[in-house]
Amino acid sequence: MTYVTKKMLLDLNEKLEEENSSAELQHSNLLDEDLNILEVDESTRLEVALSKISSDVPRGDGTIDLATLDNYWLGMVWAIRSHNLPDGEQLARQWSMQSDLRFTEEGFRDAWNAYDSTHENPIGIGSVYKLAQEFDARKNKLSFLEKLRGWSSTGESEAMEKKMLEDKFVLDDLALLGQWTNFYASHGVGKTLMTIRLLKDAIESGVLDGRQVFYVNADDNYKGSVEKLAIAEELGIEMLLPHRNDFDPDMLVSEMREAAKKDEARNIIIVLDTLKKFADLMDKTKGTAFGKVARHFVQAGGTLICLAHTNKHKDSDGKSVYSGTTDIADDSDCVYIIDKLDEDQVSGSQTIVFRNEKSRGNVIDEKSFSYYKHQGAPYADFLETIEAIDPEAAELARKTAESYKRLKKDNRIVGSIKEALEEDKTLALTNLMEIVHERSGRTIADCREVADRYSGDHWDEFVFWKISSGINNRKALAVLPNPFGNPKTQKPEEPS
Amino acid sequence: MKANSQSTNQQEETIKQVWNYLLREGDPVIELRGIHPEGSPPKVQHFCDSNYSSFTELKTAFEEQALALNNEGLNIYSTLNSIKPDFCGKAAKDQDVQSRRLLLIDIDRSGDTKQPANEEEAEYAKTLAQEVSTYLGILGWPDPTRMMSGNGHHLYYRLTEIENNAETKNLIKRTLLNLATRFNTPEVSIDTSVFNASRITKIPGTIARKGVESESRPYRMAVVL
Repeated sequence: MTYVTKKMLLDLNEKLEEENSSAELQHSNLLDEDLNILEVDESTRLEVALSKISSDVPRGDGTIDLATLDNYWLGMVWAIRSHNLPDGEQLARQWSMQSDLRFTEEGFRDAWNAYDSTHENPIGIGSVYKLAQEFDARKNKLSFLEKLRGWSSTGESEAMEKKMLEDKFVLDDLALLGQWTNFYASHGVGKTLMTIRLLKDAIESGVLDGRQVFYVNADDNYKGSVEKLAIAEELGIEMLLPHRNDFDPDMLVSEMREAAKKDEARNIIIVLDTLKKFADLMDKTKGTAFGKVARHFVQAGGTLICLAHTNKHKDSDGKSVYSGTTDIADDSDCVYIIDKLDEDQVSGSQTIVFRNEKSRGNVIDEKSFSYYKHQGAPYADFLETIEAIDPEAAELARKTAESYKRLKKDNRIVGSIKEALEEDKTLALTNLMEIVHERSGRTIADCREVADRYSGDHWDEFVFWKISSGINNRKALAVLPNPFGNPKTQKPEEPS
Repeated sequence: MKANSQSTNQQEETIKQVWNYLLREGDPVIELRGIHPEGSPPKVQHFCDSNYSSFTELKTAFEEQALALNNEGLNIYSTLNSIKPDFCGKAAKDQDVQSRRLLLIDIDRSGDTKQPANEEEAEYAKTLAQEVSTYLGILGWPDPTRMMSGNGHHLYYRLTEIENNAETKNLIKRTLLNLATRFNTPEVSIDTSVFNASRITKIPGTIARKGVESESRPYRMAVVL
């Protein structure tokens, strides 16, 4: 066995780098019409070329002028049409949609249909490739300053604002038409309830036609399915239940992919309840694969709303975090986490908040709702109790919830204070704190902090006593009368 | 060749191949590393020539220990490059390597490699190994030592004892990256991570155990071809 020298390694690298860069060049020269040797799929070749051409140009007259590099949109659409690729229309549409300030479906369709194959001097696909080459060449010649100017959005605010106002909500404030929106919440918070109610509102207000909406209820028991089906029937929503009427949930994603390819996704709104039945949220590869389908589906004019679960464990701020890998959330247009702000077990009142984690559009940052949930009551009744609540009310609910949470933690000290005062109302604060410290096992500082926290002049749900100064500045604590009941009958572990 | 069809004799014969290309007489320290496929701490043992009365004795001790650990279910490796005589430590690190002795081109199937390769996947790796060695042969490179590593293929090119430093490390890394760019296919790829000096590599004659064995994805013995 002879040896490989350092020089041989260096020579090899030089040769390989030359070959590799030449292959790369060839790849980018997919644009050259005569490069059939690479046997690249024609659609991919066209896609590569389109990625180099901006669609944000005036319509033009159906020609492509390589000198001006402007006014070529119609020429491009016709050139793509002339090529008769199976997915040509879809590629042309996706390319055109990149100019969201100019694109309209109607305008695109008119242009596509206006192509005249019998024209005496028809435009061909070669013009697209030449244009892409020209853009490539010019891009390489641009100075940094010219590139910066090219990237700048200055001057587009009016058009962008117009587009923003054109955003149409599927679910008021929360989900836009033509987008992929994910709602994440833990079990029982009400993501299904809220979604159905928001769909109901949109349908009843005429924003949506129920027949556009396909609600896949794949994570429900029989009774729940029947209840929701009855609501869907009233609203005209199409509800899909696994294995009924030959509906196989496993086939849905591939059907969505096909619908996008065949341009059959337009104006279809699909709700996946819940997403885990359709995508493996724990597997990065599978999650990304689902993301691609979802992206194609919405790019083809569909709307996707997915309901998914949050992790059992919350983040350091006590907020929920979505379950699984980040790929699904990263790939989607809009993500909300739904958290419970407050829950009154006696009245059944629930306050929840939708917090936006990600958006591409004019959706709201935060929106809160309240509803009442009574065990055994019909699902339709819950729907009717839902009310949007204003941010102040939501903030109050949040603070109240926090106070209850804190009171729960403080219960042992609160109970010990009440107990000690029942035994001897004349105790000085310092003596009281020592007794409470002994009984509760908590530090005197903790006990004093709790005594201060629940002190005030008038009783309320978080004010139980008054701290006053007597002779020689001797402080004492007096329990305030509860105007709504006899404090003696209250359990120490519950707020009075 | 399936694991269960390997006789101890075959293993004992095959492991001797390691002295033809990877390890050699005069190496002051030879490292044997047994790695449990399920991630338990590895077993590392060093064979120092000063501890043996003859090289034959060292060889026998190394082979016996390697096969014993392999029979316990561990995958068996040694370092690609020679270790410094003054080495003392648990497992050799890059700075413990004396010089670069071998260039390893490790070819394995692309994607999920958690289970043993099936025949088709192993065949893909073999074909690519052939392509790479032919390509390098045309450039005047010597014939490599080829090894079926159990699930893929290894090509070992002997280097002219290149100094172990950052420059060499970058040169090897660059070589692997360029080869990968040139030859990788969707089915099979060149491992670009095996550039570091203290890289370990599988010992022939040992069974490569990866994931769960099945009829279509058997454990195989690494063997020099």
